[in-house]
Order: sequence, then structure tokens, then C-alpha cells
Amino acid sequence: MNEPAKIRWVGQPHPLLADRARLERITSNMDLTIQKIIYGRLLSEGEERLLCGGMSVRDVLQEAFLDLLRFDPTSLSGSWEALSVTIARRRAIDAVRASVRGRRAGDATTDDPDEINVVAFDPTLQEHNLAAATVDEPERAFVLNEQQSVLVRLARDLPELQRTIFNAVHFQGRTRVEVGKEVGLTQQRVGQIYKATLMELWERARSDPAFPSDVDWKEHA
Amino acid sequence: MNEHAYGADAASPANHAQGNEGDTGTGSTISELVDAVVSAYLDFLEGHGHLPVLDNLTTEDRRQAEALIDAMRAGRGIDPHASTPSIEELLAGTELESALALLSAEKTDSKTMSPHYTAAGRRRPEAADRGRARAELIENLLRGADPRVAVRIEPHRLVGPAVTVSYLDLRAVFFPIEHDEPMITDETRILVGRMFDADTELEHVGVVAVGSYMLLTQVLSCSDLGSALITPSDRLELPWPPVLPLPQALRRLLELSAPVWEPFAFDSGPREPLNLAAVAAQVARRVVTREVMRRYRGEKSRAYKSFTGTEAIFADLIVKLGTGVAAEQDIEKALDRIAREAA
Repeated sequence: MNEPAKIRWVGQPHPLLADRARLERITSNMDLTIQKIIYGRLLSEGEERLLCGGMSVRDVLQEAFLDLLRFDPTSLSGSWEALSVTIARRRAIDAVRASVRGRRAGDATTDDPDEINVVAFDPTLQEHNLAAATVDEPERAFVLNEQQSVLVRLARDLPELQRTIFNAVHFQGRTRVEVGKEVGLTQQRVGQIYKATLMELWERARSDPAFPSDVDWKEHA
Repeated sequence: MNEHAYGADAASPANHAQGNEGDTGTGSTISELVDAVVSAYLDFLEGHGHLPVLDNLTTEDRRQAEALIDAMRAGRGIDPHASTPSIEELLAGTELESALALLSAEKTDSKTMSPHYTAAGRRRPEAADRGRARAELIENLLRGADPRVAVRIEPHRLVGPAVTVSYLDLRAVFFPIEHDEPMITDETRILVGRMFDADTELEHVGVVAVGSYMLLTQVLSCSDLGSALITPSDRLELPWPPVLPLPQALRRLLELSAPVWEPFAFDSGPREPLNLAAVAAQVARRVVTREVMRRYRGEKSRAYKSFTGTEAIFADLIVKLGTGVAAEQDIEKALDRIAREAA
């Protein structure tokens, strides 16, 4: 008789597949982690949102998601949540690096020939939001993403002007001057509205049942 | 909180507390110093200043300021309009697709079980319902595996609810076993052998382990159940197909065994009137010859052989039907008679 292929989860449900609600939370969180590394990096440069080569956030998410589910549960040392952040970060950084390899350095002058200035973009990555997106421990980063999910949801109910300013400054990382020109307000007024909105949403978020606290973070850790 | 993040060069929040953005108009309980820290951090994010120093804040203010700064930092790069794809979308086409489908089916089962209760108060599904649910699960997965095949649930005399897959003249039956691996025990082997014996047109049987979370499947053909071969190296050679998740097992089966029918076209060259009798006789001869040469087993092989030499009868029937001499009923009677004689 032949020997059937050995599959890790044979005979028992994968702990994440068996808990759909938890898996959906983790998926959503991985999505945010990947967005922050890919979009955050590109938005600061004013570049397009699709990575060169056609990779999208969804492509990267799918790869990271499969990595997570293929991870041997018996080898898990921390939490699935922390592991999901680590995997999502690695996948996103790999995707960004693959997409910018060989492009012109940001400080290259326009009249320099390409054959001299075509370099990997990796050093530049460290100067931008990549650093901000990966500075936290995975458990902490998971909780911060959960908090942002609540803010995203609450921001949808804001009046249009407030929503536009908050989304542009808070999520898209645009400057107050840029946003002010777009909505016809001064830089100062945009800053006031942003801060007011942030604090208002923060207070509302803290009473939201889906909002995790630092206690949750310590539990994950 | 990452302490190192805010301990850099001084950018006193006090400057912002007296600065030009003034009242935020929030009406919240955030202190002016915290408000100033947020402004300073916003400047820092825009590249106009340094990280704000929090040393001169009270414990409570510092906690609030750190939380808001973390929120500002953590939000950058998020697309507020994006929606996360569903788990099903992310797993589509992967080996985990079937695992998820099985879990979903089990949850559905538990919601739709018949209202019979055990003494302990727990629901127990009827065996027939469970068998049907398993077959439906197999059917759903096979239906999406390859658009060419026809998939349907059919009760099988030997194994109960099963799923029949057909493509042209290829036919396979997949049936579930309550196991976490598609183990071909002696009992299963005998069962599959009887399935082949009972249906000479059946080419493959898929044994689906519904206890596995990937619906692992062992596909067998009649020859797989024959005697083992001893190779010259004296190693026992068992050329069974590999165990694969259900959709992949079907795709492999089709890749290796799907019949290929050559495309055909009518010859538009000749202008002579069609000699229906000659063409019918030629076609009948070709069909009978081909079917006789195929490796049918049992009665089917003998039946085709008995048609050899009777091609003219078929040609005659076709001519009568084509010229309107005979009605369809007459032809059916004639065919019945031929079939009975062959049997």
C-alpha cells in the first residue's frame, strides 16, 4: 500500500481555520501592516500605489496569509497575532525591495547618467515610513493596528470636511499645506481640525468594544 | 511605548502650547501641553522639527501624549477606503481551500442537523444526512476544479451518496470515507474492486478522506488494484497515484487521462451527390472496428465483437431513416432487436 502524503493538520483542525473570527481579525491586521509599508513608503514620495512589476497589497497579503497558515502550529513560540505581524512585515518589505531594486536613487541629479546612479533603494527605505511601520514589537504593532481599524471605522461617520482632512493627514501622511490648498483652508486651520478630530475620535474609540488596550497587548505578548 | 522614540532633541511642547494653532476647539479633556505635543509631532512628521520631548509632562499627560503619538504614527500609510479580501478569496486555488470548505460544511451541518437528540442532549445527525452532506461537499469542490467536467451526486449501490464526474467518455466516482487519511484498507480495496466489477465503464474511483482538513483523495483505476509488480531491482513497485487534495486529484486525473477527440470537419471538396449508403456503411465499419479494439472488459467487449460483419445492417437502417422509408419507431425496434441479439 502506498503512503499518503504527510500533511501537518491531518486529523485536527488548524487552530486559525477553526476560529474564523480570530482569523478574520488577523487577516485584517496583516492587511494594515502591509498597506503601511507599501503605501506609506510610496505616498511619501508621491508615487503610484501599485508597486512596480504589478504587485498589489492584495497579492502580498495573500502570500503572507498563506505563509501564516502553512506555519507549523507545533513550532509556534509566541502568539499567532505576533507571528502574523512578523510575516506581513517581511513579505511587504520583500515586495517593496523587489520593486525598487535598480531604480534611481532619490538624491541622484537629473543629468547624471543612469548607469552610475542606478542603485538599490534599500538605504532610502530606512528614512521613510518603513522605519515607523516596523519599529514596534509585533505584539504591540498588532494592538496599534487594531486601534487604527477602529479609527478607520469611526472616521467614516465624520462630516465631509473633517473626514477629508483627517484621512489625508492621518492616513495618507500628506502635509497640512497640501491639504489646505486642496480644501481652501490655511495650514493652521487644517492643523486645528486634524487635532480636534484625532482627539474626538480617540475618545470615542476608547469606549468602543473593539478597541484594544495596552492590557490586550500584554496578554498577546 | 517605545521610550527611545521620544527622547531625542528638545522640541519643547511649551512652544506649541503658546503657538499659532491655538485652541483646537475639541472641548475634550486633553491638556494644552498634550495638544502642543501633538502639534510638535505633526511638525516632525512633516519634516519641520524634532521629536517632542515628554519629560516635563505629568504622568497622565505623558500617557495621553504617548497614546496619541503612537496613533498618529501607526495610522500613516493605511488606506481608509480599502477593504480586506475575504478568507475564501485569499485561499482560492490553494491547498487550504478544501480545508476551509470542510470546516464551513461542518459548521453548516451543526446548524442544520435533524432535531434528534441523544440521551445526553446532544444532536446526532442521521447517517444518511451526513453522507449526503459529505457528497455535497465533494461535489462543490469538484465543480470548481475544472470547467470541462460534468459533476453530479448519484446514489451508488455500494457506497451510498457519491459524486460522479464525467468528461466525454471518461467517468469517475468519488466517495467519502470517514477517515483522516485516504487509507486503502483491505475492506476499502475490496469495495473499490466491486465498484469496478459492477460498472465496466467506470475508469477511476476517488476515495476521499473527509476527516482530513484538505479532503485528501486517493484516485485508483482498475489496474491499481491488480497484483503488485516486482521490478528487476527486487523493489516492490506500487505505481499508485499520489494522495492529493480533492481538486488537485481531479485535475491530475484529467491531465493524465482525459480523452482527446480529434477535431473534425466535413470535406467540402467533392461535388458528387452524397452516397448515403456508402458513407453510412463506412462510418459503421469504422465505429465497430474502433470499439472492438478498445480494451473494454466483460460483456461490453463481447457485444462489440459480435457487431463485426453486421455493418451493412446499420447502413441500411440509416438509409431508410434518411430517405423517409422508415419511421423512427421502426428504427428503434430494429436497433432493439440488434442489441438483444448481440447480448
